[in-house]
Amino acid sequence: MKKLEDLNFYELLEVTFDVSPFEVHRAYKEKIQLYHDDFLASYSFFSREEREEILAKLDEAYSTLMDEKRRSRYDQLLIERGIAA
Amino acid sequence: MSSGKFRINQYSSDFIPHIWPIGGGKGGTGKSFITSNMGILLARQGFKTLLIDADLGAPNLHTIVGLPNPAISLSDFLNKRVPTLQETVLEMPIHNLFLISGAKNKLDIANLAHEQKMKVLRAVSRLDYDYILLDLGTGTSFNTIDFFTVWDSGIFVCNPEPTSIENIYRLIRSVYARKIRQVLKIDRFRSLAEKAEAQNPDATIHHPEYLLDMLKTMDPEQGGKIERILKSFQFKLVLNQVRRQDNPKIGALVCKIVERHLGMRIQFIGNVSFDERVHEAVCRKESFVDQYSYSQATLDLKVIIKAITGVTEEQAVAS
Repeated sequence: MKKLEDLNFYELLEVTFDVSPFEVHRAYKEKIQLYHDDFLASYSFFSREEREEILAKLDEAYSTLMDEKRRSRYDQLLIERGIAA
Repeated sequence: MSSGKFRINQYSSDFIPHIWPIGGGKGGTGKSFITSNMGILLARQGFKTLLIDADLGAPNLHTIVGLPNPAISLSDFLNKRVPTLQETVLEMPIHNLFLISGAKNKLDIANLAHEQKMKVLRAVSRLDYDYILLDLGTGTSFNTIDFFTVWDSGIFVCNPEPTSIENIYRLIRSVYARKIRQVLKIDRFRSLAEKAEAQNPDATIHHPEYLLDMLKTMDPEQGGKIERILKSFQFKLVLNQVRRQDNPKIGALVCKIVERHLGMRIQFIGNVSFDERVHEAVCRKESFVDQYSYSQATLDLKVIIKAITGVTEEQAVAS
């Protein structure tokens, strides 16, 4: 099990490396709902700090993968680290 | 249906448990209803099924199955009035269904001594039935958690309400922490817990996953072993009393959160629909699944049974 900080943006959103922007958006919306402090399924599981950390990382993942240039730079970084082909 | 011992290798993917503790974090989730009606459905499908009322402080399984004054109960075994647990088994009017009641338990039995508890656990493991369902007490007492960690299998029951979800997470975390403690020797666990709590005061109670993280850093081999054991658990989740306006995906999402953030695999095996007639059936001390065999709740329970047995009702009856 990877810690939150060790997950790359694709793993965080649970999408594949060739994911379309539409799917990124859909996955992001699902995750935001899941980790929202009002959502029943995650009620009481996280502290406020943990929730804020997760939501912040989701926001970063979304903004990176939805921006073509930033996504390209990010993908290159993953390739250099041997995480993506 | 033959009485089978399915256990092959407790930690292999072929392991199919036949002993199922059924617990929930709080009272009123419907554990006893789920236990009794699952038992009835299993018996009707030809499986030799034993229900055990292990809710030591507040037993009521005998009432739900329509046996108000059982002659013998679990306490007769604990107090050595009978030499074996099998002698406390009551045969029910439903063919293939049996019950160990808690009706005559003494009022202070909820506080079992360790040796008594181990006596019960060992005796249950030796019973010869196709399925054994244990209706556990509420909350996260040592007794409840021990039942989950002895057999590494169990069914968590909760409702789609914040209080129930909160308590089921608490129960799951307690089982998680207890398992780590069980695998490690007690002095090693204490040392680990102290280190984890020094970094985070809530480590053992609210965040047992920190214990595993710390162990993996200190002793990667032992940590890896415990991680594999946690992944081999056969835990299931049932969401009971689901109303039309409730999100039907809640159960699956709870399991996803547990797997993602605790590394513990729990399989969501079904929603059981809310039905007003459950109350009537309980008050009349009648079997709900027999009285209302075509209700959505009964159909939901049959789906859950299939997840436990791996076979459909038709396949089970035909074999």
